[in-house]
Amino acid sequence: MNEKIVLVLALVAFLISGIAFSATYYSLAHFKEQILTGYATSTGTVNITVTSQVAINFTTNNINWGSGAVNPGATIAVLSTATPLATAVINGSWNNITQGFILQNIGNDDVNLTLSSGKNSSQFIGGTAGGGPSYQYNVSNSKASSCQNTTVFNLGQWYDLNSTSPGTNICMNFSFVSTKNQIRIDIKLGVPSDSVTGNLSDTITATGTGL
Amino acid sequence: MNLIKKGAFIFAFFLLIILARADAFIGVSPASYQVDFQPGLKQVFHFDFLQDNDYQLKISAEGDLAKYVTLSTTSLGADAGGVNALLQLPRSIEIPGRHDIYISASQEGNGASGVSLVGKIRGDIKVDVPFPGKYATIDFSSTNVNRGEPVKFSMIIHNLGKEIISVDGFIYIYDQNKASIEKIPASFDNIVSQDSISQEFTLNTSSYNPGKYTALALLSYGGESQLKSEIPFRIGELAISIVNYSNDLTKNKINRFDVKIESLWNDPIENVYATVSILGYPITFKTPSVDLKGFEQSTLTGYFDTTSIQEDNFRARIEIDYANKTTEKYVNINFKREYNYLLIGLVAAIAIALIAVITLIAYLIRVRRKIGRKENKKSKGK
Repeated sequence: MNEKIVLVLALVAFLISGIAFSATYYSLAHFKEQILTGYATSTGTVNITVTSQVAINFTTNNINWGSGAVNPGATIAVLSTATPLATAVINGSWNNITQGFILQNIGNDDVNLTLSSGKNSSQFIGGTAGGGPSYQYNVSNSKASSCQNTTVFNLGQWYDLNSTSPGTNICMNFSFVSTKNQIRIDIKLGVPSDSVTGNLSDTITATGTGL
Repeated sequence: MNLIKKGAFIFAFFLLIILARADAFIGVSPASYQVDFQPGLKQVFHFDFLQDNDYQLKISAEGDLAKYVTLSTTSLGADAGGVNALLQLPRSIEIPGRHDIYISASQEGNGASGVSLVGKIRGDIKVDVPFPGKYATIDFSSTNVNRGEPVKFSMIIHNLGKEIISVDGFIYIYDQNKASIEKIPASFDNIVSQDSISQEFTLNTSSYNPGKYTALALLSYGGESQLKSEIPFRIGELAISIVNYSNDLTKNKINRFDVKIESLWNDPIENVYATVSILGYPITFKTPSVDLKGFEQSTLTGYFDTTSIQEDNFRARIEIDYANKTTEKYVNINFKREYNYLLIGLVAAIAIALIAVITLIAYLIRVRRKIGRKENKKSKGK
């Protein structure tokens, strides 16, 4: 009896091992078809979302000519950060400043740029001598083609600062491409001999809006 | 010790340079959101404002729909941070089209002497209000291809009106002589309000010659309303054309010679160079090579000495080599007409001097005659 049980068990074991052998062989033979294995053939996908960002950088954010006065005998002094003038200060004793404001688009989106001042020339400087005060700015590309689509506003031309909201649209498309993403804003003041005295200051706001 | 001093000096120098720069930035992310108008829409839009200096930021909403925005804060400290703008739209907005709501952060000036510059940055919530009735716009684009390849046109119809529309029409293909040569039917069914549907159309160009073509999409919706968009496309052949060349050289010196070329192939062509031979003279020179992108123009530049060339104009052969092919062109080249200004000046001076001498002699003769007449009168009187 025991011998029969052992024989049956042996047959069962033989059958199971046969099935197991077949399964292993099938699995190896069809390895790529992943029916009985963990072999993976599907293509992986990597998703990434890059968020748009508008950002402007100011390399220089203050122009201060220090203390000074209009030269005796002169009716008006001119202070300018722009290089075309022979000297940065004419008819005055202020410090020579030749560095204008430098703006850079450091985001990943083109920017519409507007400029506005807190004061106009009368409020900022005052006086009437020599034709009265002037408070002007001039926008130029520090890197070529930085400011595009300037249909109304001319680069390289002096304009009076605009203290009326929302200001003047100086650059309809300020590029973010690293080779053409930098502009310069120069400031020119005309200070009459009868101007307001004391510590004169004004704040210009550069407004950047993504396109 | 000296070395330490020198090191400290260099460190201090660079520190001063770094401190002297007043770098400061202000930014916002994301730059904008777009939302279609829905009556009573209530949605929060998050903006992260960034800056790297000590300014306080004033937060505000601007635009004609700003009154429907509630801000989570109206100011941010030096570290900036996030702002939630809760937009609660009314049941209806009268003016259709795009409305921009700007969520802005302004740096507040610190009252420094002179002229200061501060930044203001604006994130944008674009609200598209549908037009009454039927109103749609189209975006239409195409690809350049090489000969035998199909051209793919991509068309997107935006339904900006309040009604469902169906759009039908054709894409007309014109050759460079403006002659219509083929049309492809295009239709879009049941585009619901504020929805956009895109479709691609393929043009079989196997029978087309290489060249410049134009595709005009002309579709209609809701009776007389039409959508129209025109776009150029090119079918390329593996060739390079010579667009222009230098034709005003100077005698007896080394001249720069430019050859302007244009690829007529949609794929890049590498290692393109020119060989220029002056006919009748043992002068041949090559230009450095360039790589051209699809349909790109470029200039090949070489130099040669014109000392041995006697004629005022001469002929040259320009050969462009690329991808085992050549393009050649025989051209006429002229020398600039040169004037010897010294000789002209000398001749003019001699002529003026001669005129002056003749005038002087004539004057002297006249004076002498006058004196002679007077003396004759005197002697007769005696």
